[in-house]
Amino acid sequence: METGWRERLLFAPAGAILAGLFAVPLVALFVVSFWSVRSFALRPDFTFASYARVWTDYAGVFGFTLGLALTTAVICAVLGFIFAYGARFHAGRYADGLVLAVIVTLFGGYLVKVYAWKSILGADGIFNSALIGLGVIDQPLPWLIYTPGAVVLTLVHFQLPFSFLPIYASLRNVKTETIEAARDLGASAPQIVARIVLPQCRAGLVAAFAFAFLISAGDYVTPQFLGGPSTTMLGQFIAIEFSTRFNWPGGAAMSFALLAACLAIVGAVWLLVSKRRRT
Amino acid sequence: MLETKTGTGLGAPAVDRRKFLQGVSLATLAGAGLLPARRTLAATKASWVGWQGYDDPLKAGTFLADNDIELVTSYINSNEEIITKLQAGGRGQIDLVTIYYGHVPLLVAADLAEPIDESRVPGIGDIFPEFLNVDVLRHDGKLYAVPFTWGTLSMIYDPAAIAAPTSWKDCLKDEVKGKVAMVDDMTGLLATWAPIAVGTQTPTRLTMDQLKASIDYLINIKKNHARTFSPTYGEATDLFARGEVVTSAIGWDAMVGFAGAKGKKLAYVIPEEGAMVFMDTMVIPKDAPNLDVAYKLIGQATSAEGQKVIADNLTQAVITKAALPVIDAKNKEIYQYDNLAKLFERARFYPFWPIEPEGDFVVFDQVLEEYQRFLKA
Repeated sequence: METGWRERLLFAPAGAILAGLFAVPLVALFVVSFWSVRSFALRPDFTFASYARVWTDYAGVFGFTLGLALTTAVICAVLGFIFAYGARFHAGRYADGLVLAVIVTLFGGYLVKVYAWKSILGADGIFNSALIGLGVIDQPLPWLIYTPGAVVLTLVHFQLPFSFLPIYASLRNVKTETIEAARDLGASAPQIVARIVLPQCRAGLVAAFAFAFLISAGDYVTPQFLGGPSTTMLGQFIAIEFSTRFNWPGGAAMSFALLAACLAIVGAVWLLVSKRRRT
Repeated sequence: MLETKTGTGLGAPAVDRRKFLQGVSLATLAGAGLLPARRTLAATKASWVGWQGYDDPLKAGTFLADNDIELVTSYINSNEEIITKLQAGGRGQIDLVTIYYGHVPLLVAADLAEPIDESRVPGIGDIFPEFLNVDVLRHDGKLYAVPFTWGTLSMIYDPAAIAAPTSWKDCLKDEVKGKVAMVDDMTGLLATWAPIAVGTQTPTRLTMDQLKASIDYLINIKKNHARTFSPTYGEATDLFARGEVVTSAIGWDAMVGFAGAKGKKLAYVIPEEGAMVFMDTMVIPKDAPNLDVAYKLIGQATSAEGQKVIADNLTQAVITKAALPVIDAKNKEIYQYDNLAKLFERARFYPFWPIEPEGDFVVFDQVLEEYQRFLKA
């Protein structure tokens, strides 16, 4: 059906919001990434110095950030799938309740969860207090907190609902009759998951991965509060460039470099999944 | 005939959309009528930016109510945030900032500060001359910042866990390994450890080699001794309160007060190598929207009442002789107001980093850049 000008006009408000609040600021910041700064004042030059600095000075932090985000995203996608599969096919009438429980956890807020994990994992937290109380240990375990593991744990806790929801939505389209038919034909449970369920929820899995990966890659609060002395992510340096150094070109260059890397990784995952579907 | 769920048969439902909206509107109006009447004259909103706790003097007593001021506060994690806030559109929006004295020349150079009319600052004559006469507060003969408070970046420790340290190097001992608090304070860290690392007497005047060596020293502390790297002194205080750390590689007197509020007793000491004295000032940003209110805020902050709040709440030093009769003896004992020269033998006032080239010494931009290497480590 052809879309007339009236139908196109209906998209105008959404398009205006997208353009005004997303595209225009993004383009403006991209332009600034080629400027320079001196004594807290921007200079509208044209230089690649800020991008070169990302590669020469922050390659290690860049790689660490992507690695930690990848770890978080994979864990979220796996755990999200397990929980969504259980809710869709095994929870019966409790499925809606499980979905509601996941949604309710979103109300907690980001900082609340960060501080909650600080309390749980800290020297006087629940874990250490319980283990000391049971006589398992004499001193608090120092490695529970201020480590990359603590950052991953907190990010997974925060991202999991965002991963669960798209996977669950995809699984809703998987017909139970198909699964029953496969079972009748002798397929085992792992075969049903691998050959019936997973292919039909690929889009949900990729969305789950992308949500968790992109949000984690840009995070800078969790590593500050839970990461320890050597767990620094690129987001922290981006924040410093903007807030402390007024180095907007430097911060913008870091941001766009990270954005490009993230899009490349998500694109690669999508292509991988698509290729498997065609073969 | 089909029965609808309302049992009225085919036809309009008992409550249609129009009636529902009418009912909600009436309920809203009725509810609004029950709300307390708003003041017919709105209070003046004064925008203030600075360190958390520095707004306490302004909230003391009935000052804000008496002057019909609504204080809107914004806390910072670093002094540089104030400059970036003003540069990024804050000019013309902010009435008063509290900033480290060393940054005042940066504000003046960037045309972000209003000159202070000293005749409008009550009690300015009572401010200790050691602080009021610091030359960087003035430019072309005009005062651009009013001293507000000062203190020392001393060594904080948990007296219940360890004996009082005598040297900064005590935090590098094996018995406290992994239990050392360290805070993201570039000037504070370098002012504390550069004299130890490279032997300089003026840690804000370093050559590039000295700066690199100092940063290497700090990296070692961060990687091998610190429990974590706290973004703020408040977070570091939390570490003490939770038993994660027992000593510090850098501290702020106010942490004793912060910890006290959490029920944790801490103590501080100026080690034998000395400690940095800092002074924070009040600056009226250029084009401040409420100039009269800004001067009232300055007057309250430097009054005896306001300064007593700083001394009691933050365990920091007062800036004016007018406050001496009202602060407690413990504060006077720590800060030795009657003999500041003696205190300054171990707690030292350092000039700010050079902003323009000064011989072989690194400039502020270079220090910021090299500090990134420390942060990445």
